Amino acid sequence: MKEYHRITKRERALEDTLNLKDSLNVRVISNDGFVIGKVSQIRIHPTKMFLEGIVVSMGIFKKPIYIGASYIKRLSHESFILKINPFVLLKDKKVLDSNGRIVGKVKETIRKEYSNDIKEIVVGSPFRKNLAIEASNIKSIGESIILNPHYHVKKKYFWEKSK
Amino acid sequence: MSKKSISGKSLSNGITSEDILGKEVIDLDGRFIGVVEKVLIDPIELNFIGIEVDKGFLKKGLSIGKSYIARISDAAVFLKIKVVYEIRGMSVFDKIGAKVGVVSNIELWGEKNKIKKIYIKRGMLKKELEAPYEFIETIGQGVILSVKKKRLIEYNERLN
Repeated sequence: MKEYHRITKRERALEDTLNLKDSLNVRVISNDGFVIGKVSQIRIHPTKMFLEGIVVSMGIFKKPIYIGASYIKRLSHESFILKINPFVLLKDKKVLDSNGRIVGKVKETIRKEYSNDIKEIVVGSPFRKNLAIEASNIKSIGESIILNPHYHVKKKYFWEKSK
Repeated sequence: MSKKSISGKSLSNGITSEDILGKEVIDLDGRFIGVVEKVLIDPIELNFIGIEVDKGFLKKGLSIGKSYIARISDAAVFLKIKVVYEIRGMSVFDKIGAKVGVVSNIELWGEKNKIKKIYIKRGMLKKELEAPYEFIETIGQGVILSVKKKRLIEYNERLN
């Protein structure tokens, strides 16, 4: 490593810090081990000077995501590992009722403000109107979304009027 | 026409093998594992002991014991577990997110759904690595290890 003069008070030694230049374009991995994209920007608080968040680029046709530092578990020059599975990964996941029947696919996710906490998912399927399902009716989220047994999927076809 | 019964108790709550055969098998994560191909019965105890799952064309079947089945519904058989065999082919990252390779094989504790070690393929020229269960931090859509790649390589060098 190149030698430097050091002018610091309480800050860490240079070798214990991370060069942000090396952290650009590294992969971003969800808590589940899924590669969601690459770091395109690293955002710093303008006055307090700590890491505020990162912008993740998910490909040319997808909207980038800004992820706050509180959702980041670990960062290195190899990757950023998140504490969460970002809500965007829910899109197009299959939704099954408690009996294992396919209800549809996730079209949209409605969150509590800008957090990663889900309020509702909007499920769509052919010949059926979109269904809004509250988070309390979701039993588990994994490869697909399984609904609670007490939730009865109401069949609503496109010719029915919405209430 | 009403059926006669000599069962000694009511059989009306029971389901038949036809009700199970062909049903989709879904693991704890909501992952589709396959369809029920056979229902297994102990020939001495005459109990239901498990199912055999057809995972599709060219894929090896899988036997799942009764203790791993959560319930049988109208449309599917739900498991209590995430089937560990499903991690084959998943990407493996080390503690800091560096890519190590892809899960090529797994070793289980006996016939339990519990990983003893995983084998990680690192391409054509590099030697396969093995990672014991203690080195695994998360298994989801990928595998994240609790150690750095360097430590894993050192561990494998010591094994040889």
